[in-house]
Amino acid sequence: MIRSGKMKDVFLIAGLLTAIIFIIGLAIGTWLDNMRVEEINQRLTQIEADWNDARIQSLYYQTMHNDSKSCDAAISANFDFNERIYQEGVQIDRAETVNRFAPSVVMEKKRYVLLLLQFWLNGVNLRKICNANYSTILYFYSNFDESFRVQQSVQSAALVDLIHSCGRKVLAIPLPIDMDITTINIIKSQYNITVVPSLLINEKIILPGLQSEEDIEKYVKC
Amino acid sequence: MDLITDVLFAIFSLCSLYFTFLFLVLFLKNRKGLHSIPSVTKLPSVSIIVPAYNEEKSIAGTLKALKKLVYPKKLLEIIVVDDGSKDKTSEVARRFKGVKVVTRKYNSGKGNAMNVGLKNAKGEIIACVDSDSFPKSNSLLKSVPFFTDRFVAAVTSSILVRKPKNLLERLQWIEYVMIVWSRKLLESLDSIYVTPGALSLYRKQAIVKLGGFDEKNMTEDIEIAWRLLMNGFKIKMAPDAVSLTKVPESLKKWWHQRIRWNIGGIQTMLKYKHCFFKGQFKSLGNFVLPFFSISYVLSLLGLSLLMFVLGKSVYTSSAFSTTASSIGVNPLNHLEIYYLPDIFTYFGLVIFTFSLVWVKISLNITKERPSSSMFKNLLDLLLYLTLYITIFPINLIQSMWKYVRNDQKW
Repeated sequence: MIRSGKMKDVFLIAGLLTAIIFIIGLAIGTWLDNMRVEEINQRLTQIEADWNDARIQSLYYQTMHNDSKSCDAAISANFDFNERIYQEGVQIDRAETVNRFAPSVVMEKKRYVLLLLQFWLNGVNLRKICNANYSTILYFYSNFDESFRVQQSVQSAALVDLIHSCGRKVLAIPLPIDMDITTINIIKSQYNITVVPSLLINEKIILPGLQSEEDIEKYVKC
Repeated sequence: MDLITDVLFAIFSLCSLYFTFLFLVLFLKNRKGLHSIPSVTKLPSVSIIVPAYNEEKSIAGTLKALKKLVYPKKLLEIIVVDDGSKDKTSEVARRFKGVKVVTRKYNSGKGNAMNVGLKNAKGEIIACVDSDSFPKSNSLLKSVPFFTDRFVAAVTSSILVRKPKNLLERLQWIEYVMIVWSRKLLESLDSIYVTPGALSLYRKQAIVKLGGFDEKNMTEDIEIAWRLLMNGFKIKMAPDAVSLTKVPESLKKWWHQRIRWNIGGIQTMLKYKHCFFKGQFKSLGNFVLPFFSISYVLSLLGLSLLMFVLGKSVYTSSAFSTTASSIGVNPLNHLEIYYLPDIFTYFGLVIFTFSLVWVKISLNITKERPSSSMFKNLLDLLLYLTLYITIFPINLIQSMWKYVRNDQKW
């Protein structure tokens, strides 16, 4: 027979079990977040090493050879690196949307953006030294303002389409304008970048607002 | 916005987990006594009241089942209250020997019909049996003994779905089984919050003392249970007293039934709102009312969160497609489908798993299955835990809307 009344302890036990499961949930959530950040961290470390290799290759060709063959190799290494780093960006963006307990993903993103800046400068230098005919596009976006998310996703898609159709004639580099990175702040103020999305093509042409593939193609050597 | 959503998700997860565990703990504590029945030395007289409205097709089946009840005949009385039927309900009922038929001129609702039956009843115990329900022959013997405790004023029984055929009926079958065992477990907290009309027994003296059934409430079976609890009476559950009942076979009928149940629930909740967390009303104030209110809030919160997540995703996708198309980007080429597990995936899995455990326990105790196909049963179970449960809050919203607009009819 079920006894009535003296059942207050069941509320306590249920509460205790809930608390345990909730705490385990928090632990698992934190672990998942940290695992994702750790994975990104490891991949970024690897990419930084690869980047140093690519950068030194460029320096080596610029210093020791500086002929068209060396330039081609340096440019090719730069584009190879671009493809790898793009995938990393996708992973970081995804981790950013789900991670709740590991704010360090922002730090990883900063590391990634700084790598992008170096990569962009290397691309600009190579183009000048080697007199290459590819275009560089800096794509400015907001990392934190949700209201621009749709427009920015569309702009990214248009740039991906452009890269697919132009191949190794375009280097597109996305840069967040609101992550308090000094170099980006300098670029922003130098080129008067005030809206997102905005594009800066070959360090000369500024296209504010959403741009179609066709519009961008007018300014790049595709 | 993300932070608010996360906090709401966390609250939803916490409350859902708490109630899931509460029932599991109650089960573990009480599993040995689930089928116990008190011993009885003297059986009381029982008057069975069958309120009926336009039930010419099913009342004969109900009366046949009542005639087969194993109980001393001299202690048993059957009263059919025809609540202003426009068909031959009274005529069919009169064909049964020994059945008293009271015919009302106008339809005035089940609460009123029960009160009419109450006035005509001679038994110490009155039983309510809906005219589309079929109590098993031993159901009185399995339920009446609970009245040996003088504080017990009502005993409810296991209401199971009769011959479930289509998917909706099978889903209701699972739901009814779940209700049986959760109600039995709530007994240990003195918190049985409904005495369903398919077969519930009441101590006549207690009901008369409380002024009979509420004729204005759409769910007089919830209202009377709450009133009994408020006045310090006990309600027991006799799981081995089984009454089979017909359930809505179409979505439209099911929807209307649930609207009525919900409006009745809201009416009752508002009627007894003054008891909220008031110690003198014991389990009604400390558990039933908060439990009822929280389950309504949780239902609505769950639906809102689901709608928010789905709506956000649909809005973002459609805004992306429109914007992309406006500048010549084919959105289909940029479709991203991926899923990264997070803390709420874990909570979702835990709640789903424990709900599954709870359903499985209930099904195992019942030892019956709606279908002989294991695959069909499994599919029904999954549909029950996903789709069927999700529809409730939508129905609740319409019920609230109807309640606010005073659009309340049977």
